Amino acid sequence: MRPCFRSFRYVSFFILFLLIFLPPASGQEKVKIGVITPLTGAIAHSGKDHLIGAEIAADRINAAGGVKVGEKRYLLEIVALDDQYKPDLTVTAVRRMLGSGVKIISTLGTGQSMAALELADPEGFLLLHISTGPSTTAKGVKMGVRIPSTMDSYASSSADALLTLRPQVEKVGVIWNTDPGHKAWGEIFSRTWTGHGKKIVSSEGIDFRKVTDFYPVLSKTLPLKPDALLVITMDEPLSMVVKQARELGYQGYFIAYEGTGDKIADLAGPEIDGKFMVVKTFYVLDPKKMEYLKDAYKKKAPGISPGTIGANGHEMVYLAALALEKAGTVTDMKAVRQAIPKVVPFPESMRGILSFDEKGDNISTFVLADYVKGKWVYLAKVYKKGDKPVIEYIK
Amino acid sequence: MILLFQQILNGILIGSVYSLMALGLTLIYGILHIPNFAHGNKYMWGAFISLTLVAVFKLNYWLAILLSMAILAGIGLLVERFIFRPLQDQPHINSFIAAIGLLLLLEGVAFALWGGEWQRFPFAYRQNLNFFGITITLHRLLVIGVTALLIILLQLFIKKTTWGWTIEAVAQDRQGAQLVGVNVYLVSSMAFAIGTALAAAASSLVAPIYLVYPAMGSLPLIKAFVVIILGGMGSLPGAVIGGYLLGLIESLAGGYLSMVYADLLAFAVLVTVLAIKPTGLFGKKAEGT
Repeated sequence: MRPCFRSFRYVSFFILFLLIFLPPASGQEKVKIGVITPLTGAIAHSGKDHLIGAEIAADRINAAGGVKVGEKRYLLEIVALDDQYKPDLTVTAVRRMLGSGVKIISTLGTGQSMAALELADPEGFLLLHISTGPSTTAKGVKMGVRIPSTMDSYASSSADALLTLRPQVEKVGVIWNTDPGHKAWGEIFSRTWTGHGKKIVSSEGIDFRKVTDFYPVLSKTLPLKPDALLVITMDEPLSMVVKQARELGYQGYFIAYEGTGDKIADLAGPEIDGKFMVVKTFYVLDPKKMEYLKDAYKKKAPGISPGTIGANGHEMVYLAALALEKAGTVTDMKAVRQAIPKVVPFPESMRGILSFDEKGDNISTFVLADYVKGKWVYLAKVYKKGDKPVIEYIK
Repeated sequence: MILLFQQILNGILIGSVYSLMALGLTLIYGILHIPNFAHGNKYMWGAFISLTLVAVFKLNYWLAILLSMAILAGIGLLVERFIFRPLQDQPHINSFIAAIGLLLLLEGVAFALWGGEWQRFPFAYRQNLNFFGITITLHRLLVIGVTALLIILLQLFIKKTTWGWTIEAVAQDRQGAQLVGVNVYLVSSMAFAIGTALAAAASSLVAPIYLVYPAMGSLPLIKAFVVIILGGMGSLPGAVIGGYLLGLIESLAGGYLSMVYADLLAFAVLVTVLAIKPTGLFGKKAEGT
């Protein structure tokens, strides 16, 4: 028994030696990109979308040889941690990532990104946050970059466009999620709408993570006879609001910010047919990009369809990769941050980011769409020219 | 006026869920003196099991509810026998920790089995009914009706059957009941099974009008605790009346103030009731030590 045991010990030491000292089989070093996102809990579907979008981009970049920084090539590695959409867990996850050498991190949600931004400048990591509330970039954190457009552009522009697209709408009821980003959306829309001399008949906050019965709030809002309901939340609770409002006899329009792509059409179905106006912020203008991402999702995660957040995750990884190449460093994150405005626009951008400003906000295009007889119908294209939004109506 | 009646109807629906949850919780508390923190996750399991039976096995909705109640009753029996019974003569803190452990276990297994996403129940009675301007779907009306039926059946079971008397006897005086020959272990198992089945009934009834997801039980659990404190710990009428009262307060607060303040008002009522009547609405004063 003893000689046998000794041999086993030698073999074990040899394997351990190989694991520790030999370089990886590919011979290429890796740059880690951390994705901190809700992988469990009520918002998990959005978190998975974020992660899958990022992984698809990293796979595509790695298949093409990785990121070329100076003369050296690096592979990208996506590392993920679950924050359950809770800002305190986001901070814990950031600390864990920093401890394991991650220097580029992506977070999801305004509250969660606000928490991570507190650490970005002091700890010197690059934070590519998927948040839409204006408060994140208003913090003035130098190492923070917002991936989607700030919601003030599309909240106000959608109110402007509503005047032309739905001239019959006078009174709007607003139902917003009690998340700082979604609350800001409602406030900006309401300000713009009342600025046009129109009416906001009610403004109701709901914690959509907890409440799934909307009869109490709808029973209060619908007697005020709104022509349209602006519902600011993710697709699943939005579809419940739509169904319950129709049950209560509401026949008016719904206005929404698209949370997870085409899912709302499957969930709400005929209840929104021809009576919907949604802000779509990604790839709809380019059918080739849409098909590419849909195919990639089919292979990577069958059963999950790509949404806005997945497109953002995909865009985030490309932005990081291009900025690493442009900066010529994988260690100096300040240089990588400074390189970001210089790499846009880039062809792999899912929405067409046009430029970044010094706050870390980007200017990109979005469309307003309706869902008619099972198909999306695009109503208007909105982009910024200078400080002002330009609305191009699609006939 | 229509708004008032609509909100009262909404409140009765919310109260139905709270009452069923609180009945199960107070039944278990009355017999075993365990604050069963895992009760919310059993509620969630009930909804997921019903959803699976309807969506995957294409079972009839009502049969799925009965099966879900039976499966959860079975789980309740196992939990009582193998987790809480061995801890009965141990310090109370052990049962508390076991309940928290069970909560985490049930949540973890649910994530593994059904994933963490929101799911829509594939079936509901969608017919709209309208009475004098008040709108309600048939499904909501059925939830209210079936809950009332379950409450009446439970009351008849407790008051009119020998099994029910043994439950009352053990709740009033465990040692005394044991001395007169009541099998207290059997009664404990029965209380656990009935309590858990009621949680499954509550979630399965409302699953078609709500969303189904792993965290769906946490809020009803907190509310059920509020109800049993409000109604009086261990009191069955207190659980029923407290449940409906809380549902009405929340609905009226949501309708006339704001949904954001609905929870706040519910807890304010709890604090006020406890300040005036520390034992809750129907609670009996504890015996002096």
